Formats: sequence, structure tokens, C-alpha cells
Amino acid sequence: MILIDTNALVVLIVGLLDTGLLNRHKRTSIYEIEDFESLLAVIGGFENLLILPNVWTETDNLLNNFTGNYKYPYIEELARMFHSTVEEYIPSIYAPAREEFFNLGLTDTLLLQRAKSCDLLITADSQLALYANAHKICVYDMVERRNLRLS
Amino acid sequence: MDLNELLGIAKQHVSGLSELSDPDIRLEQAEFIKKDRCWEIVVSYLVANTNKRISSSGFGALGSHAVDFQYYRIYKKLKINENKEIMGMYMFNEKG
Repeated sequence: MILIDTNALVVLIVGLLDTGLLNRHKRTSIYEIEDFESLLAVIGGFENLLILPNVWTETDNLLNNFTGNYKYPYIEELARMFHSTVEEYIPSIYAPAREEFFNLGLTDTLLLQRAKSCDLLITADSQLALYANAHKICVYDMVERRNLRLS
Repeated sequence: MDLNELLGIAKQHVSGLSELSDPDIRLEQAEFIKKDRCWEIVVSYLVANTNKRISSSGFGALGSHAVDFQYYRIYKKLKINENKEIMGMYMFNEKG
């Protein structure tokens, strides 16, 4: 399974809605169509994509302010993805027992733990990528990849 | 200005803030604020983790899971005007 974090899921959903929106939306402003297409290629099929409820909640909190022409398509896309991806609940009680909880918070701590038994962690969060690398987790680091094309 | 230029300006400004030879400076966000005619960007960079524990954490079970990381990532928000000048640098919470 492939685990995805909030920032990367935001890029995925914005790209699915309108690739032209990627560099106009505050949360995805550094990304281009190339990044979105690479992300889709890495995921393969959505049936491989594991999403924690915490990640869905954070993502919706960041994107639910869509208005006008994007509001209804956003709701529809979300509903499609709820059906086609895999959702797995991890009790929050596991997080405070991890030292990473101090710096990463609840969602990323649970992601880090779950990623240890996944094939890949897709993240657009440099701090989470740093921790994942330290834990020898296989990481697709979207920020790193985008910055390689900038420098 | 494009993202390459913004990252270049940011690198010049923050590279001295890390003692590491390769602080892995990254552009995380970039937004042009029309009313202020300036860019607000978020950059991150690595610093050495100097806050490693020196004894038991004192948090009971937490101590058994403790991992000391070699690096720590810092996030900063920069304001850059159209003349490519840094107008301000601010703390930034990556979860914000």
C-alpha cells in the first residue's frame, strides 16, 4: 500500500479538479502539472492508496473553502475518492507514546508509524520526510523533487 | 519574478543561518500578494539538532521510543518586493 500525507493529498485533489489551479492555489503554489502527473504515476491506481481519517480531515479543512465553480466539483471528487481509496483508522492513543508527537503532531505521528509497514510514503511535508528518512521509510518527497528542478 | 529567482534570493538570505555545509534550503510555498505588490514565500532549511537528550526523558514510556535526530528543519516566511529586496523574515509554523 501507498500512504499519503495531507499536503500531498491536497496537491492530488487540486490537480484532479483543475491542473491550471495548481500554481494559483496557496497550498499548491510551487507545483506544476509535471508534479501532478508524476504523483499520479507513482500512485498507480487509487485502490493502492491508503488514507488516514486524520489526513482526510486536515485536507478537507484546507480545501473546503472552495467557492463558485470549484465547490461542487470538489465535493464530487472527494466522494469519488472516498469510494476508490482505502481508509484506515488508527487510534489516537498510540501517538503520545511516540517521541515524534512533540514535533510532528497527531496526524504525522500516526502517518510515520503506519508508513513503516507500507511500500511507500508520499509526502509534501519536508519535516515529515526528514523523520521518515531517519526511520528508513521509503519516501516520495514532493518538495524535494520540485526543488531539484528549481535549483 | 519566477520561483527560481525567489529561491535564489531566499538562499542568499538564509544560507548563513545554518552551520551545515548543505542545509538543503527548500522553497515550500510562494504567493504574490497583489495589494502589497510583494511575494510571500516560505522556505525551510536544516540545522544541526542541538537539543538532544542528555538523560532519561522523564516521560516514562516515551523514553523507550526516543530517537535523536541529527538535523532539525526550520521554516521561515519571507516577504520579497518587486525590486527583489527582502522586506521581512518571520517565524513560520509548517502546520499553519
